[in-house]
Amino acid sequence: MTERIPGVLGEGVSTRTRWASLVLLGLFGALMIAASPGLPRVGDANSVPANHVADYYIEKGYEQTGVPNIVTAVLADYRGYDTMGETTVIFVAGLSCLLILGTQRTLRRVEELDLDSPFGSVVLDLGCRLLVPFILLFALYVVFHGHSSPGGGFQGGTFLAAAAILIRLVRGKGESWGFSRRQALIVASIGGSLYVWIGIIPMFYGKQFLDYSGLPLAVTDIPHLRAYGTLGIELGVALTVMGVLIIIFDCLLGKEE
Amino acid sequence: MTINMVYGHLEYYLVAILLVMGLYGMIASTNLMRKVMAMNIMQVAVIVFFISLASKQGAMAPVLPLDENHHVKSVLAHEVVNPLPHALMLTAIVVSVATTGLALALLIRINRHFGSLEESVILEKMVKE
Amino acid sequence: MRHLPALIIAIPLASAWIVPLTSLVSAWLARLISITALMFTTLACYGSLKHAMTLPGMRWSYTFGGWEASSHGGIPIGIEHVIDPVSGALATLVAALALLTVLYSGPQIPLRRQVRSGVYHGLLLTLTTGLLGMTITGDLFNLYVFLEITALSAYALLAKTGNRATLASLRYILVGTVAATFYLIGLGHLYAVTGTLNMADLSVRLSQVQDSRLIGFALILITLALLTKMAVFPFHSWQSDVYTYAPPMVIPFIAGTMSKVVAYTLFRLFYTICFVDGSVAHHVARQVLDVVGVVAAISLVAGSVLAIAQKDVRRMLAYSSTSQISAVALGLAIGNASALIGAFTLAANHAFAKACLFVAVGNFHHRSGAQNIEYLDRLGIRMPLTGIAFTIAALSIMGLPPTGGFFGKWYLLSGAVEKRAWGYVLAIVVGSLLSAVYFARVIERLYVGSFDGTGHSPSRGGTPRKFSKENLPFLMVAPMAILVIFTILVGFYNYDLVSGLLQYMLPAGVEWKS
Repeated sequence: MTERIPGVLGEGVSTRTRWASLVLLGLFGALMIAASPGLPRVGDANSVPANHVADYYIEKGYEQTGVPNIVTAVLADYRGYDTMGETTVIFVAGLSCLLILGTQRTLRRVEELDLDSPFGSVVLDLGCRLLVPFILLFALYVVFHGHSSPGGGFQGGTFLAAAAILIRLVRGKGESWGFSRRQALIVASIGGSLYVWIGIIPMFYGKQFLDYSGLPLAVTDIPHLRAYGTLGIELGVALTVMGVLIIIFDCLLGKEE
Repeated sequence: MTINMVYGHLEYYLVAILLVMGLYGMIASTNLMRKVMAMNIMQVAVIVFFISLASKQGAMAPVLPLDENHHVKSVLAHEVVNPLPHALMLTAIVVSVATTGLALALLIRINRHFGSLEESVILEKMVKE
Repeated sequence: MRHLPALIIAIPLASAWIVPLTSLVSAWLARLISITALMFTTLACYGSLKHAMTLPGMRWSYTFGGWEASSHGGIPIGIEHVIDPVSGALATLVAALALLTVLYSGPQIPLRRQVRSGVYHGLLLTLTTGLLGMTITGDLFNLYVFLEITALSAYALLAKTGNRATLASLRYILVGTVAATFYLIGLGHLYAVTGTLNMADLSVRLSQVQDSRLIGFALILITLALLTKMAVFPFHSWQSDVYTYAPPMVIPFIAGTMSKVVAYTLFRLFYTICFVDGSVAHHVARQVLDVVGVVAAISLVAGSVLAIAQKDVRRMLAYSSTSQISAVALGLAIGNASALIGAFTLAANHAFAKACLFVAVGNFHHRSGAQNIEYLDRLGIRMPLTGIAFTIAALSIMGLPPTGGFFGKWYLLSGAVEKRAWGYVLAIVVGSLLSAVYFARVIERLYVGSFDGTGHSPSRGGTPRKFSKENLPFLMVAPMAILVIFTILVGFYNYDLVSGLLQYMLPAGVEWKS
């Protein structure tokens, strides 16, 4: 049988365990507060973290990477490797949902719902028809303008998925609107592969992995070239996030086995 | 610890409280769904911690603005919020979403089989099997 | 050639993205891609190790995106990978075990279920990428990202088979996320006082920090997180359920590699980042290590005691893992040359031996359906190859010569004696004796059968199937044989291993007197 630990799949939590854990946790919180004077004051512009690597990012970021949004510059260029790992995390979550909740037979197309009787009312149906194009447009705007305003691949990808999920919510589980689970998997894989191959291609031209200045595009200005590289990976990320979120939503909603 | 110092560290106390709340929720809840929600609270505490580290008084968001000639203005470091923790926390948020998604998928499977997410009910049914 | 460190990650990652896609077309092709990718990855790891050992300082650094610190005023603005003897060797080990696992799991996945098999191979590849990334990275936040990749892939792979596995995996998620959160908070504290995430830079800047309370708190948090991930007592409870209900095709890999990579992270945290002579960080780290030593010693004995009480072989092996990895942690805590070399040898040996044990148990299960120890009745005689493999691997964990386990424990004991830490000596000896008890019980069952001659009690584990010959597919026997051979090789060639490789793993200031 599973081992008994208080509270985690145990017989239910006794009062004594509750008090014991409260005491321990209170001790932990007190320790954390006791260690906090060493942390920099909130809002301090002269703190140690603000004067090391970060000021380099702020002052040299645009001239080196061609991206005015410094968070995107850090995320996609200076620390692009982390973002690649993060995209992999999201992909793993999608694959896991497929493995845990999606069986072979439900990966085939589910029957279309009868269009005369949609899941929601006429008002909902009409409303979502009006909304979806704007959501998609805004999503693309967010992806492509991640350079100069808050935005980027993750945020845009979520919007793209939101459009597809809205359709599913309004028109019923069966309506996959051209984006079945299989196609979402294909899109997600393409997005991620785009990211990894944008990283691998510079290696063929003598540059490091994920060094966008090695991309074979007809642009001579290095920051400009880097900005294109950033755009490419943001697109890849958006596709992956969209695909994975649709997969997860479909799996969570899936038919009873 | 003077009042001045306490005032400057308030966000860190909030982080400590959130952490403790999340941990206690995970230990003391009997419902699996509540445990997952408490896990989310803990992850949010970390995000608040890093974002507090990044803030600077009077500074603007790390998106460089355009000046009159539509060129990007260059700024000094102390006018702009520290962008590194923000980028790190984007990653942390995505990881948290992925983990929650996976946990929810598992919860759905458990619910389908046992019919409930309450620990005591699940344990009873598991013993019977 | 000069891009090998990047290829170590790029190859399995690129394959992981296309394998599920390919499986929609042809499952056989997907499998071929994963096997080829892992072969090249192993070669890349080995090549990097060889090259790194020819460099001065034995440290090969590779920065992604071209943002080398040296070309930007010495500030580490990019993420770097560091290949040194330890990380290179560990990476090669992980990649090789991954390759063996993919080969081993072949006969067990029905290729008719195309998408399932593609997703499974994809997850295995991401698991490998995560482990390799954790091993060779030089940036603390990057370590967190790869830690999560590893953990998520493991959560998914472990939840496949039935409802107990799902519950075990959920529990693993909860515990694992707490550990990762603690790691991040500790990392945040370290970042707050130094401003950098790069390990080499951090060690320099941390040595100038005077606030011992904050450093101590951060180190304790990170250590707690890592010890939980290694499943050291008292944070071990998630491991027994997970190892018991995991699908037998993937558990040898997870059991053999995950805790070692985390132990290596612990080693790097203390010996590479904190041990700068004379600093406050060094002092605090030394104190934390002493506490870790005590916890590890208790865990060594507790793990063995818990293993004795088990009926299910895999649960017994899970507690045994707790005990063994605590021995590695103990070696790290003791800190002198012998103990560290003992820790590394034990880690390598345990990787091979534990993987081999789980493969053997999987083979027993494949033919006879047996999981409980009672049902292993005379299985060693009916399945001779598997029985021998199990026995040799068990002897290795017990620590009998000439296997690698003996030398590992020998070095560890000499280290403890040298430091006059008699409590540790006692713990190691008692732990080894107890491990002999629980393994001897299983080996006896395998060859002699039970004393009262019956041995079939109606309990969980299913009724064993009847069969005549061993008849295992080649792909299930070959990995087992290879693992057993390596366990013995670690023992036979241990002097060459130490003088040729392990000697260079010791951190600066710790000398090996052979």
